[in-house]
Amino acid sequence: MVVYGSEEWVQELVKKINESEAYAKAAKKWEGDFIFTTIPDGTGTLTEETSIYCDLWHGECREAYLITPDRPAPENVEYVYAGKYGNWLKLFDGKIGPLKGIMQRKFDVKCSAKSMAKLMRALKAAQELVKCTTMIENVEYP
Amino acid sequence: MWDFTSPRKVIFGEDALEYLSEKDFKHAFVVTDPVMKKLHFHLLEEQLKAIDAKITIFDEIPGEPSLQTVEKGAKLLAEVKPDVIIAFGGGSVMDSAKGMWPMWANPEDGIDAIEGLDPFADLKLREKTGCILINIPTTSGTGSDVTWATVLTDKSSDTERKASFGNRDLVADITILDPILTKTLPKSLIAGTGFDAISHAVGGYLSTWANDFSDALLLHAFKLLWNNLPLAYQQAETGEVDYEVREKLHNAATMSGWGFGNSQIILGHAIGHTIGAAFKIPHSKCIGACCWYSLMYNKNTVSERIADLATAAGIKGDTIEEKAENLIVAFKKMLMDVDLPISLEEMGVTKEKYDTEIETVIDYTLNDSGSLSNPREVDYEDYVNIYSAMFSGKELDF
Repeated sequence: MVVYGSEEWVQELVKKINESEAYAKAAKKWEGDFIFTTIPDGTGTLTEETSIYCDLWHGECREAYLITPDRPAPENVEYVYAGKYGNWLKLFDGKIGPLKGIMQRKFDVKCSAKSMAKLMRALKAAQELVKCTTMIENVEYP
Repeated sequence: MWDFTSPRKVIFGEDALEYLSEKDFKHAFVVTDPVMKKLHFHLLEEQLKAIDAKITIFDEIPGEPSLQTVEKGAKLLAEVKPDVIIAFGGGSVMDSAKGMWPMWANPEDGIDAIEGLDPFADLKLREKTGCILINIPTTSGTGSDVTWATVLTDKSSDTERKASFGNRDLVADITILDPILTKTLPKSLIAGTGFDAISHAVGGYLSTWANDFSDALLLHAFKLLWNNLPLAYQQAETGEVDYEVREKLHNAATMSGWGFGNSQIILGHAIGHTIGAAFKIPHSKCIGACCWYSLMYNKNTVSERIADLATAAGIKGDTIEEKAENLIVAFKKMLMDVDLPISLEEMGVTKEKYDTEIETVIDYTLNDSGSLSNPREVDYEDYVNIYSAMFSGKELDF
């Protein structure tokens, strides 16, 4: 079992992204780095905010790790995508999509206007990235 | 949480244009195209002169406006600083005006001011510019007069791309629906823009983003369009203008825009946006066929919703599936009755051009927001098969 939001889970995600032909195809010309933040909302037993750094480069994940005081995110990360834990679970279940999640204020994206334009041109890649999270097996959601 | 956004006012019916002469505008910036300037601008001018408003005209909007044209208009806006922007024309004109406004308000961001719009940011357009937006559609189809989304062409890459973006601040303050403005519409445009509105009704109703509010508008809009479009087309063939029929179409197009603007488009528009830009096909010429393909592709996933549309159109069937199928058959027939093309070949796309562009076309289609909100998931191979069938007008069998 890998616990959602743990370093092990992050490394499983990296594997799934790099194994995904669909993601590789959808994101072949795309590059950018993210911080994905999960905010506790009373769902399950998650009590601490967790953030993951993820560097995406032309259909591959070059690097990803759990952000900790000892290993902070690099400076000037292009995107911060944040949402409550319950909403992340709905995203993984396919009940909301990455774009619809933003529209419904279930997720918040922070980036420049230029970066938002770049993200809006890569919606299929975003969809495939979310699919990669659902491919991780034996996940324990706290 | 979800939003339903509307203009503050919808002025409609005979003599609706006269509403302008009741206002106190000082300087109107009119965005239009050369044809509309020649045909109907005098009707607008008459109302603005009655209140001694200064008028600046930007009449350079082409059929498929680019981000670059919009940037030019935004620079002129910044120079003349009007207190009202009036978009007077079809979807291209209104989309352009909606693009110019945030560029004027945020000149430092250039084109990114619109393509990278945060859909939830408070743009404060009215506060920053001291200006409001009035849309006056002159075709019955686009729905752009009441939507917050905008589609423009990005000419900065080798294969042109339709860029869609939006923010609810872009919804007009007022939309004016005067059916007299549609009297000179040729039958081809009545058909093409009418099918654009039908496609909005279909897409908005079938979208995964559909909601109770959009459903109500879209079903009635679909009924009005289905019943009145063939009539308006037939009348136009003989030169007849029945303003009651035209008003129904004009109102329905706006209702359809209102509905899908608060829901989403689907695969049909994703295809329409992409082939329009890549193969230079006017949106009004291709969108009907694109919508027909979207109905075929989605029929097994949302047959009940398609049957709802069939019921609204008065199409019968013993089962839900039969009703859905009958609508798809009737849809193709209506396209043919109003002389709209079914295949890419009929739209003028050569095999050589198709083979050269198709990979990029599919890539762009996949990344259009309409693909994401389509009820049946769609991937690269699906689009290979859809486009292959569409090239020669074959029905989908998967």
